[in-house]
Amino acid sequence: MPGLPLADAAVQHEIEQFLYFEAELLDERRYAEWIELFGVDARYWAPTHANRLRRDRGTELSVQGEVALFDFDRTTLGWRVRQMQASMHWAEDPPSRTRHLVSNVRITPLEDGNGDTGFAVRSNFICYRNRLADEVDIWAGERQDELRRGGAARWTIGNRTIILDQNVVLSKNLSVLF
Amino acid sequence: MELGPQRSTLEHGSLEDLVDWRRGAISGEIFADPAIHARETEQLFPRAWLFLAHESQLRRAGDFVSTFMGADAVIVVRDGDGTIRGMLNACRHRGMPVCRVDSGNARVFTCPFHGWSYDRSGTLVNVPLLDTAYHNELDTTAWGLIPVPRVASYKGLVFATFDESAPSLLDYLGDMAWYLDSMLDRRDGGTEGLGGVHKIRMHGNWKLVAEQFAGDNYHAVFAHASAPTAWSGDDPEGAAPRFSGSMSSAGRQFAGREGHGTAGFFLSSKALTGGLRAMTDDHRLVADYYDATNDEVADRLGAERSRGPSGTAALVFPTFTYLEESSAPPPLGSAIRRGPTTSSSGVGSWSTPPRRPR
Repeated sequence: MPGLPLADAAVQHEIEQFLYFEAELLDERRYAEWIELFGVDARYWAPTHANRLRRDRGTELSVQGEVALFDFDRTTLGWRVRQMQASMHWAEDPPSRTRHLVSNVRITPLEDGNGDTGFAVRSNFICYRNRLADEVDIWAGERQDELRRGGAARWTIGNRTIILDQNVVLSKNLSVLF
Repeated sequence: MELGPQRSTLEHGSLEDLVDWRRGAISGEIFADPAIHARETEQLFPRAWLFLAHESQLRRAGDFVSTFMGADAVIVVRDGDGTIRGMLNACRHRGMPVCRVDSGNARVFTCPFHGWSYDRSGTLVNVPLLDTAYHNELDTTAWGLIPVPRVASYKGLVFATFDESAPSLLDYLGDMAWYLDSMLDRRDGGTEGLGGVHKIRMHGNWKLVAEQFAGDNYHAVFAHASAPTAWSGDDPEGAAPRFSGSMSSAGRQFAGREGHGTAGFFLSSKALTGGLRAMTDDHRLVADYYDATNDEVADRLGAERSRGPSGTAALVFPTFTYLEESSAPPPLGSAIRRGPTTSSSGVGSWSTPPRRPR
């Protein structure tokens, strides 16, 4: 099919395995290892998602500098991880049970990447959470990652944008990571 | 007080029995009894001044936001002559919402059911098939969107009430206006709302929120203990709660007759910006801003209100709340925006820094 980008099969395999590994770290609450996947200049950002008229649909997402659901740099994302590990983090004590499902992985080379060293990776996710006795949340959305070769797990996450497919955040909190 | 599941507290006595203000004690029934909620729906929300929007969301003619006043969906729009109007978001024909988006700019609001259209002032301007369906006998001037009778602003915040005989907004705010000014009137130009609204659903009675913001600073050191642990150098697994220095400094507590309330601390500028400087480059920028503007704000508002965010939580009764918090600048305003039921509410949060020069 003309126009359909086809990533190299080996790169596709490597990146998917990386994303599955990352999901495993989150679901097993191995946050200290998870944070190491992010580069020193990483941004971790989830805009708000408004309802707009069809003609204004380019403005559904808040932009950088506006209100966001998550807006972390590497330092403050580290704080978030430290918070998850804190002995008195009541939102996550007892901890949530999560399953991060990652699919629809679409890969294109980064324009500033050298050959196969950097990729823009879009993936869809569903995160199932079961919390306390009977609370269930299901978040669906898209992640837009910048991945570059290097680091302990072969790849380093540069920037991550999380598009959550909700207008009103329906869960009691967002004490999970995507 | 023993209550069967079908019986209301109100059948046993008066509301006064549920609130012992001398002892500072209230009955949990006020958060759960459907009869009390019904009375609030009838007597409180239709009469109180309720927050609608920040004026900066409505800069141009036709700019609108959709929100709620109690259980009623409303559209807030700036019309052609610059007036900010509120109107019920319900078509006069069959009651369908005529606006189903959060915000935007529109000349008309068109009902998706039969196509009745209303202009920015709520006037019914188009009825499809008016001749064949209504034989031109429909008096369109009688079927405009129902207006919210009173809309007023206080320094950028737009409020409205359904009660034509309510006191003026300024009288309603009373002494609370003095406290609001430390957020809204720090500098020429006032504040603006950053783009984006963080909307959540609050699972709980609206009065839990009201009570919380009106004066519970006590919880912060324990409920939010993980936050200072996160940004400190402490071992997160073993850290004891770091009691903020602010908790031992002089504070203030205000409770107004209108139901408003606020509590906060008088911190020195140095204590405030010193805390910020220990955090990140972004926080240092905010500290620089507060240091650079402190004298200007002190000249304008006096020393008590010049000191920047100081761990202040506040309630403009019944449903507008805000925080001035040194660790989370800029000030954050929230309001219950979707009609409270007994046990849940929709809440929106805005960030309202001083307006940027443009």
